[in-house]
Amino acid sequence: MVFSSAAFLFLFLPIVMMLYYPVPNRRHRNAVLLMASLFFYAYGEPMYIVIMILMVTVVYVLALRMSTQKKSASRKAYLIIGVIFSLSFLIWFKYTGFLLRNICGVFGKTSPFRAPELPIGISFYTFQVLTYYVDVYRGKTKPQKNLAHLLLYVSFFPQLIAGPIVNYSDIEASLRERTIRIMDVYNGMVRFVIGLAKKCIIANSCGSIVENLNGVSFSVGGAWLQAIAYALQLYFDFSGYSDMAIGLGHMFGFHFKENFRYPYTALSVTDFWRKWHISLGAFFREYVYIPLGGNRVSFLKHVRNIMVVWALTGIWHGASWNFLLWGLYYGILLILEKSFLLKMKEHLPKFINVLMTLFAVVIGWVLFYHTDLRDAVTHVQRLFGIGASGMTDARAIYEFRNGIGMLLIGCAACFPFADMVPAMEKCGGISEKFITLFRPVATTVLLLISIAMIVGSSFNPFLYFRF
Amino acid sequence: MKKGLAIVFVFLWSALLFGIGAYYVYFAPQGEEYSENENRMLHAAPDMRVSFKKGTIDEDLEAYLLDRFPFREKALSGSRKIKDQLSTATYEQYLQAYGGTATDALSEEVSDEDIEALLAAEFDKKPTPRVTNTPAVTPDPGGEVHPSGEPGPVATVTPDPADLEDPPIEPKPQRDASEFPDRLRFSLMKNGTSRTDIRVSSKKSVLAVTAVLNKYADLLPEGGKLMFTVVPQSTYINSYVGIGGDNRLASEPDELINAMSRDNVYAFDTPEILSDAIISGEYVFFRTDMHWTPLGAYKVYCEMAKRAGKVPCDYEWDFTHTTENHFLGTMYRSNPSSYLESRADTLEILEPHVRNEVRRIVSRDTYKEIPFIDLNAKSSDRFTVYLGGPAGPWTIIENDNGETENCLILMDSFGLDFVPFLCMNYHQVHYYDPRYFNAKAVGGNISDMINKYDIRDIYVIVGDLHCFDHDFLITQANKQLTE
Repeated sequence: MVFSSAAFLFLFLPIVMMLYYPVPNRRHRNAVLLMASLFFYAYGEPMYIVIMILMVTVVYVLALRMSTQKKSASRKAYLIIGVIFSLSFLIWFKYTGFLLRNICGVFGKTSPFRAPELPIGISFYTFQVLTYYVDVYRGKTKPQKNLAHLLLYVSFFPQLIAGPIVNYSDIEASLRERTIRIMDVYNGMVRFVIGLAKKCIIANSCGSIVENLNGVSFSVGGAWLQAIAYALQLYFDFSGYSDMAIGLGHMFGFHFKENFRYPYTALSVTDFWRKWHISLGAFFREYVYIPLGGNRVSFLKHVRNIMVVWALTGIWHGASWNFLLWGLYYGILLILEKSFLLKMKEHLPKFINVLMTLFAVVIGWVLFYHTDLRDAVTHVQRLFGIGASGMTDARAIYEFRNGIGMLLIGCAACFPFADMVPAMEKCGGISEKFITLFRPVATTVLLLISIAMIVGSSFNPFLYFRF
Repeated sequence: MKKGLAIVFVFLWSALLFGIGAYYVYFAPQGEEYSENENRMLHAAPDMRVSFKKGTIDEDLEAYLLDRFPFREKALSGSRKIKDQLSTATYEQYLQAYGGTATDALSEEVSDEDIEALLAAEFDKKPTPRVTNTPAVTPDPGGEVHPSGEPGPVATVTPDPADLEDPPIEPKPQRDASEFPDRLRFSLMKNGTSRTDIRVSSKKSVLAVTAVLNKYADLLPEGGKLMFTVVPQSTYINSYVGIGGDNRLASEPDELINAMSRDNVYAFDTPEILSDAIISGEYVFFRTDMHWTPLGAYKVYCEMAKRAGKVPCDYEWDFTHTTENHFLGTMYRSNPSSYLESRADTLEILEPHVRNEVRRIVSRDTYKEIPFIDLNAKSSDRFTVYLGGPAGPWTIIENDNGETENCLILMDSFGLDFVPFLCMNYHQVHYYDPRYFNAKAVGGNISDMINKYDIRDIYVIVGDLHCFDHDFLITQANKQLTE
């Protein structure tokens, strides 16, 4: 079930709200949320819920056992067993087919292995399980004694299938005790609708431009239009989902950290990754980069650490060479920035820095989009006129003009205009009354438009589901 | 933000979601239902059985909920309007992007497999013995003279003696597809010396269309004929209107179709038939609408009727003419420029002088009566004044004209203003548009329908956007024959 589906909006969410809010007791509320979350997951893939419950149960037991160990070596042994166990599902489902296919390819054979279907959200919930387990090992958090609490932390439906990756320590307190205020519910609903609108109005429209140009437009203009539309689609799709997850969290008394901070206004690639999919970056920094030594090592080791982190980031997104190349591309860019580019860019005007960053990011998205490496390389070449059919073509012109309104709205929404409202209010530019009314009225309009778009469109896939 | 206001809006949004949910639970229709606008069966409420192995319930339920959304039509039109408002693309740009001129690129909907399968089934086998061609039926020269301009039941039409003198139709000469070039052109021949290609189609796709036409023709009873034509669009024909001189329009695909099709299949070269009219500036194509005018359709109809052994009706005498001035058609609506507005069209609507009843099949044996001409139709496309447009799975026009034979028109919107003419020659005129056909709704595939309604002749009238480079005939019409 996805948040932008009719089943979620008109059946699941109202029923959960109806069951959740009248319950006065926190324990019973957790039970409602747990049952709802398990149903939410099982609804799409009934069989794979077993894997998630198994993973959580084993890690729950291992964490409890690990915490009773006095010796550091045995704690470490528990850590290794738990990490291998958790990752084994991800590796089996996501990477075995890819590995075998490439190994067999080296020997000129075809792999007989047929990769199983990837359980939805496995990349996300595996990482959530790992953050809990490693934090228990580090003593950063106490092991959860209540299996239901741990299961709710992992399976909580707002963040279960496409993040953000929530650290256990961030919501541990909320699992035990939380109060629900009407303002939280209101803000949560507003945030949810903003996310829904991002997804249904902007991301899907940009997505149809990308699809319509795929394999039919071979001009320079077509290549750029497709790349830019994909950059917008990806951002509004994923950040929209994160907004909905954060909003739903608010509605049920949980507070998740932000996952996006206007990444397309970043001044550098380093800055971009501080603003894009923040929870994933934080995970790799906390659990891979720093344990490897971070930047407090020799230059060569630092380079190694960066490349390891980015190779993993790339391959986390999918078992395919293009994702690995995409990760390494960012690794190289970050090394270049850390070595000299950032210093050079300090002297340039801000908008030049933003444009340079966007240029690098859009090229990166081209690598990300094409799972076939040859297609990716051809597309990048076409961006620069190599092998292009001309500067523009009829299909690109039509798609551009047909999608111009949505592209402009998308570009404008990449900037933090909404954040300027309080400042304008302070300056007296907008009256308080206007803001008070504008927000809920605009939210209502966005909700109605989003619903119309959902009903009117069958093009509704969430991109981050496949990761 | 005041707490009171927050409560109001939280209540409002929740009520909206709850309300729609409650509608689904208590009021939404549970069974399957045919949607005429979308030509498909709307989903029935799914069986709420949980399958642990596959979560198919998700797709079914979602499809059901979207299909049965309250105010669905309003939501659909709302989302379309929003998209339209945000678009600056013109119809010409759409045509250039998706219709194409002077191109042999197949549209993405046509799969190579469909074409190869058709070619293999039709042309890789031993030659099928040609259907013996029956001579043209000689029409009864008797009949009443029409009361001029008065609507009413006129059962017969006056034949033109010239039509009766048509020589018997000779069997087609045997030709091989290899004699034709790989790319078949529809061109303007300038002064007999140079040519400009307007549209180019691949031989493969023309052969695939021929194969489909043959399959339809094979279903006809002895003496039955299939008439086929591809109608160019005014979007590019207008460039040649009134150019005068020693210019001609001609298209090659028709030759190949005539050579490779059954003896009872006749392809008509509309560009050539209308060539003189176009070059001399006659009003056979609209200026602001992509379609041909009724006069353009009539000129081609006359050729077809003669070939079918029918006496062509009279354009002036046999119809009530209603004209609408300042008609701004599809091209204007896509690109509302003052230039096009200054070239506004005159829409001539023809209502045949025969009493008729028009029924549209809604589902199986359920029919809906629709007017032949609906001058009050609210649709922005005035072309739909004829029979409410080509939508609907199957439409039957029963004419009180003393004729006994029935015909079928396989068409897109270009066939609409062809209908009034055929109403003078056939007892029942059936028509369907493959985009809207639904075997489940009408209770049978096209073969079944041809048998059930005793169809004698078939007319295939298709705009060129839907012909050789499109799945309209090659895939949709082909599959609908048997599926």
